[in-house]
Amino acid sequence: MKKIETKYLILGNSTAAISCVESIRSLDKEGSVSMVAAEKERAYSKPLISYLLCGSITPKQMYYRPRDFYENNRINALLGSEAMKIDAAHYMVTTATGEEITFERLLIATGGRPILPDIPGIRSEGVFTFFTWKDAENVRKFIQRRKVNHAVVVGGGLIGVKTLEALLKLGVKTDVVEKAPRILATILDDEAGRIVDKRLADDGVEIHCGTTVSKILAVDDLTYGVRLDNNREIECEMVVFAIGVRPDTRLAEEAGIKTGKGIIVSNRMETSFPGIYAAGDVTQSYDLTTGVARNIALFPSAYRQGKVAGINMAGGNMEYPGGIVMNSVSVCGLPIISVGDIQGEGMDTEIYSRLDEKSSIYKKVLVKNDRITGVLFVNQVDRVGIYTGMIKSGINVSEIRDMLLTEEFGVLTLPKEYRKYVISGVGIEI
Amino acid sequence: MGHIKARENYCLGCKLCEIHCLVAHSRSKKILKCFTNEKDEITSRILVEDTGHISFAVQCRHCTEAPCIESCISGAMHYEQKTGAVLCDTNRCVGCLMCVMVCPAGAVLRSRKGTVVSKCDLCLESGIPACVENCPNEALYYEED
Ligand SMILES: Cc1cc2nc3c(=O)[nH]c(=O)nc-3n(C[C@H](O)[C@H](O)[C@H](O)COP(=O)(O)OP(=O)(O)OC[C@H]3O[C@@H](n4cnc5c(N)ncnc54)[C@H](O)[C@@H]3O)c2cc1C
Repeated sequence: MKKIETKYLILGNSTAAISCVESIRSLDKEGSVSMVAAEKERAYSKPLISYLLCGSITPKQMYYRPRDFYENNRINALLGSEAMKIDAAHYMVTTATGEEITFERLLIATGGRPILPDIPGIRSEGVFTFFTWKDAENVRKFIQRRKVNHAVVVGGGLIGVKTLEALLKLGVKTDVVEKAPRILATILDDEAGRIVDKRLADDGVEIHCGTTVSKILAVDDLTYGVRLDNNREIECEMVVFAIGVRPDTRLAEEAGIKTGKGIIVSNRMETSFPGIYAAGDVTQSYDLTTGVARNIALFPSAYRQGKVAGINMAGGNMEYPGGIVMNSVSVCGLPIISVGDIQGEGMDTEIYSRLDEKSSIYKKVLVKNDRITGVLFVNQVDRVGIYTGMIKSGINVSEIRDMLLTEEFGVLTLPKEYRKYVISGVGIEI
Repeated sequence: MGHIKARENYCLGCKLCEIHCLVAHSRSKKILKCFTNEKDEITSRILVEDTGHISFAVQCRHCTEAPCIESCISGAMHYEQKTGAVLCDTNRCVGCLMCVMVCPAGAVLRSRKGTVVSKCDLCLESGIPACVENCPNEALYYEED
């Protein structure tokens, strides 16, 4: 056993971990920082693996921070070492590579794990998840080696769609299997769904909705197709599962830290155990637009939470009021941005929308109690951020509701006080 | 670092700032050449809004807690070390549009090709921002912090 003492210990080496370290260093230049990361690579950006797979970026572009990041920030980084146990009472973490690390402040930023269903054939060659750099590498090699012509992506959420985009770019014919009535079910509405379906059909992508894969068809452990629960069979050489990600709370649970839909944290990102913080995909957050506690597994939230945790760990004071679900995704080259709660249409919801079927342009804004709660833009997404900003700041739009989807809508249309805030820049005091 | 500021009631809506922004970010830096040869490659990074009554030029506010940087999945969007200006390294940008989704001023724009984003760089390389230099009514001015 190798013993290490550190002031700050970070578990994980991705979005939340990196932004936490940067925040710690903004306040505390001296305190020792150690990091334990299961993956061997320097910090890279997970959302880029689909771009890497289809060759639109090089491996060099995967890195989220420059090579000298760890040195410049004086981080003792144990890369390729998995944390096995948190001993909260003794402020100690043990690793798979044999370190015993005692800390004063701990951040758990271990993210999530992809879900694999327990179905016959799931261990066959040709079945993948798409979650890490290594996954992307394995998928790429497999496509080359097996000369994959036909693939099935199971799950039509954000990650499934990104996988689809990459496979299409590689010239692999790809079907998508989705349990819900349409792909991207939580971030599209019926109208946007129709536009997307048409685009997919035009590009020859088959979507199998309302069903799921019940069996991987394989001979000698080599995949040759899938069977759906409606008994239909699809021939394919490769299957990628993207049916969801579960927060990786095991370490926290075993340590007696409270969990729900992720590790439960205060608005200072501190867990039920003082001195132990958590941030990113591993946490449960408050959804600002629906008021519900849930797991928000998105990059901007991970970054923000990491930042808030880091500031507080280093003795500062910062709060995280909650997050907003937001996605920017492209389906067969069709850009889509969906922010907030675009499903929650109740009696008290006002809906403003515009559809231009010929050019596949669709815009919709949902307003509840004079506040924007969701926006959904398809194929013309310029300046959507103006609405996102208003959602975040909870701006009263009663005076400008008629302007919301006009050509002139912009910064000039914003209520005066808020406009001043926007023009002066976020974080800049007026 | 300084900021480009605007006097709301001075803007004539002439859009000269947009044109000079284009030229300043073109390869040739020549107005005629850039409009004949490079028109499809460059986007103005400043945008004149016009409601009919008033007009106003918007460009990146160079936030100190920039939502675009927090959301950037590629690491392209960053603070320039010396000045703190918010810049986009277009070699790293993958065009995911996360920044477009979160910029409260709507000041990060898509490039013509839609593959990378385009935003105000304060004309750091040449000194004074082209939009400020060429605003005929001094509606735009540059102020050091
Ligand atoms: C293909 C793909 C595309 C995506 N696209 C988008 C997108 O477009 N927009 C968006 O907002 N989000 C996207 N996401 C989600 C985004 O990547 C995550 O929200 C973000 O990475 C979360 O960061 P995190 O630091 O919380 O966790 P993660 O990025 O999951 O990192 C957790 C890290 O902890 C390590 N770890 C786990 N357990 C241990 C342990 N016991 N000991 C040590 N280390 C451990 C893991 O190896 C991992 O490196 C995408 C994700 C994927 C997979």
